[in-house]
Amino acid sequence: MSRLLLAEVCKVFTTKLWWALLIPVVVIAGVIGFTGAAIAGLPAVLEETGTTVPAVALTVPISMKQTTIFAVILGLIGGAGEFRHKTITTTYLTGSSRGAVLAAKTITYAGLGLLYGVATFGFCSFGALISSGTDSFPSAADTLMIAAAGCAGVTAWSVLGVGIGTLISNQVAVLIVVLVYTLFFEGLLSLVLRIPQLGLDGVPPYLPGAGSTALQTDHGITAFAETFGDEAFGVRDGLESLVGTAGQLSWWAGGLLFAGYAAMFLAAGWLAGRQRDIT
Amino acid sequence: MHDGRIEVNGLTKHFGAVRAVRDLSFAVEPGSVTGFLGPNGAGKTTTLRMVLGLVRPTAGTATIGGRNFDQLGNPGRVVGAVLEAQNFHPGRKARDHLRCYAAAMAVPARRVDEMIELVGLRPAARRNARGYSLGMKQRLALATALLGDPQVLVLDEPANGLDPEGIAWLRAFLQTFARSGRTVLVSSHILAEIEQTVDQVVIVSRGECVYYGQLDELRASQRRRVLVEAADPAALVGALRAAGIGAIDLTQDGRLSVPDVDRRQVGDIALAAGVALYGIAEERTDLEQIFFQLTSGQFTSGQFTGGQFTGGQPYGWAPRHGFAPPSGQPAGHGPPLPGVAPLPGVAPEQVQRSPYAPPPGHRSGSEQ
Repeated sequence: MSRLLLAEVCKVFTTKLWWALLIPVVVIAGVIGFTGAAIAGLPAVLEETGTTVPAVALTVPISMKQTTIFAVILGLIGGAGEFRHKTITTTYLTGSSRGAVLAAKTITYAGLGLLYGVATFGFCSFGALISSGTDSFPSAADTLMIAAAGCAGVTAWSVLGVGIGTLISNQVAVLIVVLVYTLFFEGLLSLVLRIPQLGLDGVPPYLPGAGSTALQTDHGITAFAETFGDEAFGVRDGLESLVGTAGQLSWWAGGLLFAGYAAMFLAAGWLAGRQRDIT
Repeated sequence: MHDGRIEVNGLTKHFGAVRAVRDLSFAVEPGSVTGFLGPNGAGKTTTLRMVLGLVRPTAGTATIGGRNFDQLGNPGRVVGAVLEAQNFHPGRKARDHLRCYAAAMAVPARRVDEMIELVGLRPAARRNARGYSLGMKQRLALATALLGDPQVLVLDEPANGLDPEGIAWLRAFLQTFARSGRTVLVSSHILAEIEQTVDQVVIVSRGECVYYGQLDELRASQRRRVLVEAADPAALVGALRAAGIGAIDLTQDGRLSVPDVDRRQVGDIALAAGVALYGIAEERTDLEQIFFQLTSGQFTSGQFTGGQFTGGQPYGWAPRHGFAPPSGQPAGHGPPLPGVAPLPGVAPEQVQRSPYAPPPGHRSGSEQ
């Protein structure tokens, strides 16, 4: 198992994809972190709120949510790329079993997801620091919690990617399907489900993207809103309707939900991969 | 240590309605090179992939050293395979490719450079596989297959894309490999391509085995005849008949066709009978013709009409007669494989430059 893990790590770091996708991740995180903290540090904002605004409590979750896109692309290519380049033949010929290969890939890409999450947090925080110092950070405990939840979401997305990539194995098709779903379709589906006449408005929080968003944003929104004391409830409500997360699950429920989706696709990929003829 | 015997038993594979392989059984013994022959589409690749656990059989079993592929543990150390040329990530360097799979098999990194030397890829080892020619990809595939120092080697049409030098080297290599007590199974759709290399053959047609046995036995079933041009054919026929040789035919060009005799025998009889000979030639039914007869059932329309194969060499490269693999291999005990000299390196011209990243000067400026 450890030899297959080493092989997968070797494969990742001998091609360009991992850093090519990491570039937009850190750029986006840096820009969001910097801009958010800069706005929060504007004299007019400080005057209006009468307190320092912990922008990082929002910018880190927003950045993490962006990073999930790149993490899932990485995972999908990790799962399907070997089929595209037909290296899967050699991989299976050198693996003790297909399940062991998939396990090695899952661990490798989970690690990469974690790396992307940590990089996101690092660059977002760095942007905030150079823009307005430590003023825009919530408490250390909150910051840590927000970062951890964000990283967990990013990690889970790359694992989900490996699962779906192995399941569908056609790299182009799987990228299109997953990106269209996450960037476009789930939002549309939520809107449709929220039509009152359908009586399905309880469903949207249980969609995969909503679960992951709850995991990544719940704690940040709470920490941000609590800064405003008595007005916290109103601030939270406003924020949630603004970013479309109204009625979302708590961070742990969303996290469990999304972990379930990831595990489900991983299991489906395992089952499909086990049966597949490599011709 | 696995004994490296490949055993295929009642192997069957259906792809939907297509019966790719039907009830195939054969065994490949260690210490021998077995040719796996058949026309394109006969089920060779599917069979090899079932042996290697890549395709699930509909019925039957295929084992290596008595075990299914998925029970081998670290399969790369037991069996190496060259299945198709195009199995590299275009953006990964050849050496990195080997490093990753060396890690998968837990063989030391030193072995990577040894294999690069062995297949003659050193000039291109630090270049992306994107710029590799078909022949270079075959060399890299072979290097990958040999990384784990396997007991068994399975090769699917390995000569594709190799230059004549590479093919000659591969032949000698496979024989040396087998002589060291290991097992080689090599497929081809051209008998002549592997005729000099193999000890036994499995010939398949339409997914079924049509011949399985020693190549020598197949050769023994060849018919031979002597074509002779005589000053007085009638007198020669009389003399031959008197010597107990019958079934003599007259060919269209006026020569006599005498079956199952020796050239010298006919010459001696002619001399004794006082008949002048203007020409004498011995002819054998080509092995290729036997192969064709065995497998022709695959095609309903007459793509191959008799005699077409007797002339030139198919694909123009395979020497049929008088070819001997390089003898007197150095008997050094180098780690890759005792007694095998490395394949000469790829010529610089073979290295295609990547349109994106021109390789750092493998050609000196003096050439420009």
